[in-house]
Amino acid sequence: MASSSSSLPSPSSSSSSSSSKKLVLRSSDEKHFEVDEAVALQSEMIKQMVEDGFGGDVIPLLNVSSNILSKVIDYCKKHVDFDSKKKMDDRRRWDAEYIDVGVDELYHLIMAANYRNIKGLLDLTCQKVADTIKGKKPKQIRIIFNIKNDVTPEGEQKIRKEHSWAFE
Amino acid sequence: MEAIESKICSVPSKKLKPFKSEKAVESTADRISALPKAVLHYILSFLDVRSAVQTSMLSKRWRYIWTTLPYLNFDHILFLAYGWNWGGENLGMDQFLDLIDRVLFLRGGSHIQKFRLYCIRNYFDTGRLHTWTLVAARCNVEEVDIRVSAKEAVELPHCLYISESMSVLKLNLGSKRPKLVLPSSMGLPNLKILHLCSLCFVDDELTNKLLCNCPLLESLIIRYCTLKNVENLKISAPRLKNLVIETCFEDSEVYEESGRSFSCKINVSAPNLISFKCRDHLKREYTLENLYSLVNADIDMYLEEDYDNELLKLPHKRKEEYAQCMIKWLTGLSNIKALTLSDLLLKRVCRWHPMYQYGDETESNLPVIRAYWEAELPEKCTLNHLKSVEIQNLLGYVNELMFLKFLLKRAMVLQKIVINTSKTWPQDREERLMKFRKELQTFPQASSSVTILFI
Repeated sequence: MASSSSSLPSPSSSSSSSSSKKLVLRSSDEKHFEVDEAVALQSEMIKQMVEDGFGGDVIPLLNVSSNILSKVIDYCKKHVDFDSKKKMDDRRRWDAEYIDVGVDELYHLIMAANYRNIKGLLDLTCQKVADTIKGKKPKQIRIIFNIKNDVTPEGEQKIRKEHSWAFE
Repeated sequence: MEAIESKICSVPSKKLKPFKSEKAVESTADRISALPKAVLHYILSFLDVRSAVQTSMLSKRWRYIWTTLPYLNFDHILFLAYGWNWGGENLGMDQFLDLIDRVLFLRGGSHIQKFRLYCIRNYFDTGRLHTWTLVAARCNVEEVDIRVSAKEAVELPHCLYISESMSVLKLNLGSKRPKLVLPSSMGLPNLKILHLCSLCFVDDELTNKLLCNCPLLESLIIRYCTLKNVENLKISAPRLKNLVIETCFEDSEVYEESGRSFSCKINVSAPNLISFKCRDHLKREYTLENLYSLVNADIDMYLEEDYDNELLKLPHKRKEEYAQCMIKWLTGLSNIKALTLSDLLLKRVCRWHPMYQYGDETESNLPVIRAYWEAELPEKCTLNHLKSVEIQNLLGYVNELMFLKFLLKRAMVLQKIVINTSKTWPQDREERLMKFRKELQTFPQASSSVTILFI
């Protein structure tokens, strides 16, 4: 599988040397990814599908584009490795580097983790958003995430007054 | 003003890495607000409640998101870190308590999945705790995690103890270990995790009611608790997998001729228990029953503090008693597959006898000690499942050798013994270690393949 830094992996070229069982995933833009079953099963959704007998076919992931899917697979692969080694420091370092992405990509990763139900990735991505919000003023948060302020200044005053116990 | 704000923004915070700037410029769409509400709630779950409430200012989309937030994280430390600079002794306590009141009042009755309250730096009126947990219970709370410093007895609402929705209950009442007042009837049909730390049990019957009326309980931790007027602590849980009992105190500890005596006995019956960690006084009476599934046991018992460094002065009678306690432990754990004996247990246990260091012993001592271990155990006592043994801080005492002899003789399927030798061995370490190993090799082994590793 292509590493997180390169753009697109060549479809179905990712077979590793191990002879374990493979699953084929199809992204929304019709690219195919062959991955070890253990890697794919990090996703609760895929696990459920395999249990329901869909494991033999190509598993379509309608909402996930190939570049995001490739990044998600990177995460799952690495965490299958980590699970067997229990090196917390390595894991943290790798996670921190992995999640150092732009807002757009972060959004797509959250959506993919949520849709495919990958708890570790959902925690990592949501924690990243929360850490960014933490300790910042509303104006700062709006700028970072391009949130359009559709509240009138009067409305804003009203909210601030109602919630004075929660603001400085 | 706008310019100043954005300038502040562009300075990366020391703790947080900002988003890659070139990408942030690229994207103009409001991605985060487009996330489903459940995901927004999940993001807010990583924040303290006040930061979550503050997001109501962001835009219309965010206005009421917090009011249905199912994860409530009231953390006094975070409250202080991201907000007022309240100085003085009060540390913003009034504002913090006010915030909890208002959030619980304004959010209405929407479901609470997790209620977490951490407030350990200041004492506060525990009556408020009753009200807050009542609100949480009425919102069908699933996880309660409370860590506070309480001075007076803590009484939580009855409905919390009969909650059908609760799966996790963690209570830590702080270093004063105040009483936990329990209601007369309890039963938590879906509770899986129960952690009770730094509190005082005051009633035999009620404590056991709590511990035995959770049919799905999988993890139980009892740590730094006082057992007052509790004569028998009964832990009976058919699905329990993980049990930790650590450092229990007694209100009145009686010192007799034979040392400290404990009025509270602990009875554990857990057929599905996999992991058991115990740190307690060696003389407390434990009855272990039905531990058929136990895989890991980590046993770390201690003796009188007074004798901690001078065990040689321990009266002979007491040494005998301790030895019997330990043998009782080993017999009770006869089904286990991996045993971790702390340096504490073995090192001290090994000094129960008038110890002679390995180099000092004379032939005449040896049979006495050997006879001792063997005499205490009935012939049929064998360890039928023990596969791996790890010993910390081996000092090279003869009783350590005798203990290993006992293990080798009685453990029928033993595969591995890992021995960590103590760093405090005297100068003749190598020589003594060699002698130790040589002697070890002469012992009969019940299992056909035992590897002994010295580290």
